[in-house]
Amino acid sequence: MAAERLADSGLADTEAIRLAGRITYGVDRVTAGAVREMGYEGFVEWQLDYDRIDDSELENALRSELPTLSMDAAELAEYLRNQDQFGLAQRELLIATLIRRAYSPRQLYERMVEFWSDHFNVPVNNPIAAALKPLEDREVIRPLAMGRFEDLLQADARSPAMLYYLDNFNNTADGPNENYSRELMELHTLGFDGGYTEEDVKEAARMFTGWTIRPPGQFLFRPRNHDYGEKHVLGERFLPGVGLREGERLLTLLAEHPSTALHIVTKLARRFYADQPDEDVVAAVADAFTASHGDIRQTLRALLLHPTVLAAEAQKLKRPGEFVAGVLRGLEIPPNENVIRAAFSSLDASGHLPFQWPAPNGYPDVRPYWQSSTGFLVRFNAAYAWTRETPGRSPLLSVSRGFRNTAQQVDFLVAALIPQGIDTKTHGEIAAYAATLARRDRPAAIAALLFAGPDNQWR
Amino acid sequence: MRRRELLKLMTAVPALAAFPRWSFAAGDALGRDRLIYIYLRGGADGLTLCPPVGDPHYFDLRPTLAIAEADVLPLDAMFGLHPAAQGLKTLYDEGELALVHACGLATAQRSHFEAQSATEQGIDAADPAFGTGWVGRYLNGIEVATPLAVIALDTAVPQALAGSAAALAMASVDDFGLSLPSDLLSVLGAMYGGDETLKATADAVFTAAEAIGPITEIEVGENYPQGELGAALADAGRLIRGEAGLVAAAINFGGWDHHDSQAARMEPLATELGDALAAFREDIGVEWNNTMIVVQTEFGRRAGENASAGTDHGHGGVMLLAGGGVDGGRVIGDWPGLEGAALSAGEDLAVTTDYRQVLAELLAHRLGVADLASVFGDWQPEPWQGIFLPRAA
Repeated sequence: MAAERLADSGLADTEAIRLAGRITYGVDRVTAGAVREMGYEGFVEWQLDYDRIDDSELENALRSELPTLSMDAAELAEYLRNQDQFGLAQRELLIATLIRRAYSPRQLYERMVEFWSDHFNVPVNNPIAAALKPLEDREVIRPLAMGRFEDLLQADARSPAMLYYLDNFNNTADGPNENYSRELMELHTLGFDGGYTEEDVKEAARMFTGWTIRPPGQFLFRPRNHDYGEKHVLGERFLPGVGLREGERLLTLLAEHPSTALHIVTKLARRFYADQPDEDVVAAVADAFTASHGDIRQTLRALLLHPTVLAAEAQKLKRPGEFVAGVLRGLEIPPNENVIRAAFSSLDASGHLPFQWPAPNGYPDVRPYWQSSTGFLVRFNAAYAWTRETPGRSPLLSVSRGFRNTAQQVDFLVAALIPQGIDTKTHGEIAAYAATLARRDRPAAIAALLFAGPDNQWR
Repeated sequence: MRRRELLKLMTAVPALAAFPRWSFAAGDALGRDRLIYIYLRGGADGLTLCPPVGDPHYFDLRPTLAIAEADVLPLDAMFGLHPAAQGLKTLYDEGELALVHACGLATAQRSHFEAQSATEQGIDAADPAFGTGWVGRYLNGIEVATPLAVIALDTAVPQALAGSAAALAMASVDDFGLSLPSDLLSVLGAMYGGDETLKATADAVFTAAEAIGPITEIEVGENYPQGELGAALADAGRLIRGEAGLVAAAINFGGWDHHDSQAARMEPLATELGDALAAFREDIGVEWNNTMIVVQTEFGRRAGENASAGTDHGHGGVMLLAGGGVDGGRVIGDWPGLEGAALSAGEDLAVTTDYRQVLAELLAHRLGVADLASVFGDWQPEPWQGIFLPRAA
C-alpha cells in the first residue's frame, strides 16, 4: 500500500534525496545514486534490512586497527591493566563511532545506534565506565538497535555499564538505591507523564535488588541481596518469593505499556523529522509499535513512510555530530588520523562528543539547544578548514576542478552537497565570489560556503 | 574589483560592515548588578554542603555520611560548611556570602530534568510551563546593547536564558575565534540573511567573534582552580575586567548526582566551588560590588542516606548568594528540622523558602526590576526577608 502511495505521489529525485538526508548522516554521491535507483521507499527498505548491507570491509578494518573492539570483558580488563591506559577502550570506541557514522553503508542503522546510545545514555567519564561502555555498545546497543524494544530494554537492564552508571549494582534489599528504577520509568520507558508515582519508583527499585555486576563485566543476580517481599508497581501485584523473574516481568510490563509506545515513538519522530511531531503521526506510529510488539523496524517503517512525515519540510537542525559526519561524507575523504582528529575537536568544541553527555537523558534533540553561537562558530571554522586542507584528497573537489566555468562549478557542487538546491540569489553570490578567487582556490571556497551556509544545517 | 565586490557585500551584513566600537558600560554604570547564575547540575546535597550539625536527627539520618560537628567550618549554632569549602567560609566571614537553607521548589519534584526545567523557568513544579527562562524574561525587560552582554559560558544556552535573543553560548573566550577570511564571511552572512530562523545566530557569531578579540588579550586571573567552574569564572572575570558590558552570565557546574560514594565525590566539588568563588572575587576587584552570584541546584537530596553511601533524589536544598550586595554572613530561612514529622513526604528536607522568593528579592533589590510580574507572572513573593542590601543609587 505504501508503495502505491509513493508511486502515485511520484517523489522527485531531489525530494527523495532530501528525505534520505534525514535518515542518514548525509547523502554523498554514491548514496544519491542509490536513492535515484531505488526511490525513497526502496532506499528505506534497503536501509531497514541493514544486515544484508555488506559493511564487512569497514568492520574488518576497524577490528584490525582497534583491538579493543573485539575483546570480551576479561580480555579487555586484562589489556587495559597491562597497557596501564584506562582510556584506551573509550578512545577506540569513540574513533569507531565517528568512522561508522561517516563511512558505514548501514546509515540508518548507525543513526539508530546513536538514537539508542542517547536513549540509554551512559557517559564515559570515569575508568570503570570506560571499560564497561564498549561492551554495552557491542553486546547490547549495536546487536539490538533494529530489533525489538523489549529485548533492548531487558539487555540494557543487565548491562554492566548501565548497572554501574545508575548505581543498580549497589541496590540491595537492605538498602535500596532508586536511581535506576526512576530513570527506567522516566527516561527509558513510560516517560515523565507516563503515569507512574514516587511509590512505583521505590517499589520498582526493590525488584531490581540483587541485580549487580560480576567483575570484570558480566551480569550477576545475587539472591542474598534480593528483596523477596511482595511489591506493587503500576497497580500490579508482584507475589512474594520471586527473584530475578519479577524484575524481568516488570520490564516486560513497562515495554508493553501504552505510555512507553508513545514515549519511544515521540522520541523517534523527534529524531527523524520534527522537534514537535504531529499528534496523528505519533498515534499512528505508536499503533505500529504496539501491534508489532515493539518491533523497531516496523515502527521505523510506519514513521518514515507516513504521509505527513514524507510531506514535512526540512525542520530538524542537524546536531553537530550529523554536521561533522555529513561534511566528511560530502567531501568523500577517506578516513585517516587527521580526519578523525578534526572530527573529534569539532565535536569536543560543540559539546557533542559521543558518550560524553553527563546526565541519563542523553544529548538534547531540539533546535533551541543546538542553535548556539559556539556550535555555529565551530561549523563555520570546520567547513572552512576541512575544505581548504583537503582539496587534494577529496574526490568531490578534484572532480569539481574540471569545470572551467564557475557557474558550472557551483552547479556541480550544489547538486552534490545541497541536493534540494539553493536559491538563485545565493547561487549568484557564491559564483560571483568564487570568480574573484584564483582558479585553484574556487572549489574549496564554494564547498566551504555550502557546508557552512544555512541550507546544510537543516535536514 | 575584488575590493569593490567586498564592499558591496559588506553592506548586506551590517554587523560586519562597520565594526562599531561598542560603548562598554561597567556594572556600576548599568545601574544594576551583573548576574552570574551558577547551576549545580544533578541535585546538590544541601545537608553535606551546609550540614545542620545542630540538628541531632542529622546524625541519625546520615550514619556514615554526616560530617562531624568538629569537622565542619562553623557558621552558626545550627550550621556549618563542608570542610573543603574554605573559600565559601572566607566569603561568609566577610559578610559576602549568604546561604538560604531548606530552599527550593515549593512542590517537590524528584526528576532532575523536570526540576531543572521548572527552576530555570522560574515556576513552581506544579505550574504550567512558561517556556522561557527567568533570566531571559528579566533581560527582555532591560536594554542589552553590547554584543557580549549575555553569555552562557558553555557550548549551549541553558533554559534559564531562553527568551533572550542576545544570549550567546561561548564555551571558552580563547576559542571563540573565526578562522574564515572576511570576504568569505561576507558571503556567508548574506546567505544567512535568507534564513529567518538562523540569521540571528550567524550574525551573533560574526559580531561576538569580532568583539571578543580584545578580551582574549586579557590575562587569566590568578588562583582559579582547575575544572569546569574555575575555567568559566576565569572567563567571566576577563569579560568583566575587559569592560565587555557583561550583564548576565550562566555557568553549568555538573556532577552533583551522588547516589553512591557521596563523601568522596562531594569533596572536590565543594573545594572547587569555594576556591572558584574566592578567586573570582579577588579577580574582579571593585566590580565585586556590582556583581551578584546566584548558586542554585534542582533539588536537595533524600535526608536519609542510602546503602551505597550516597543519597537519592529529595526536596529541600540550599541556595547560595555571593557578592558585594548580599547581606551575608548568615544562613537564612526557617529550619524545618529533620525529625520524621517535619520531613517532606516523610523523608526529605522540607522547603520553607520558595527559591523564587530569593530571585524576587534579587530582581527587586539588585537588578532594578520594578515589575516582578514581568518575570514571574501571577506568582507573588512573601514579605521581603532582606537577603540583599539595597543598591546605592
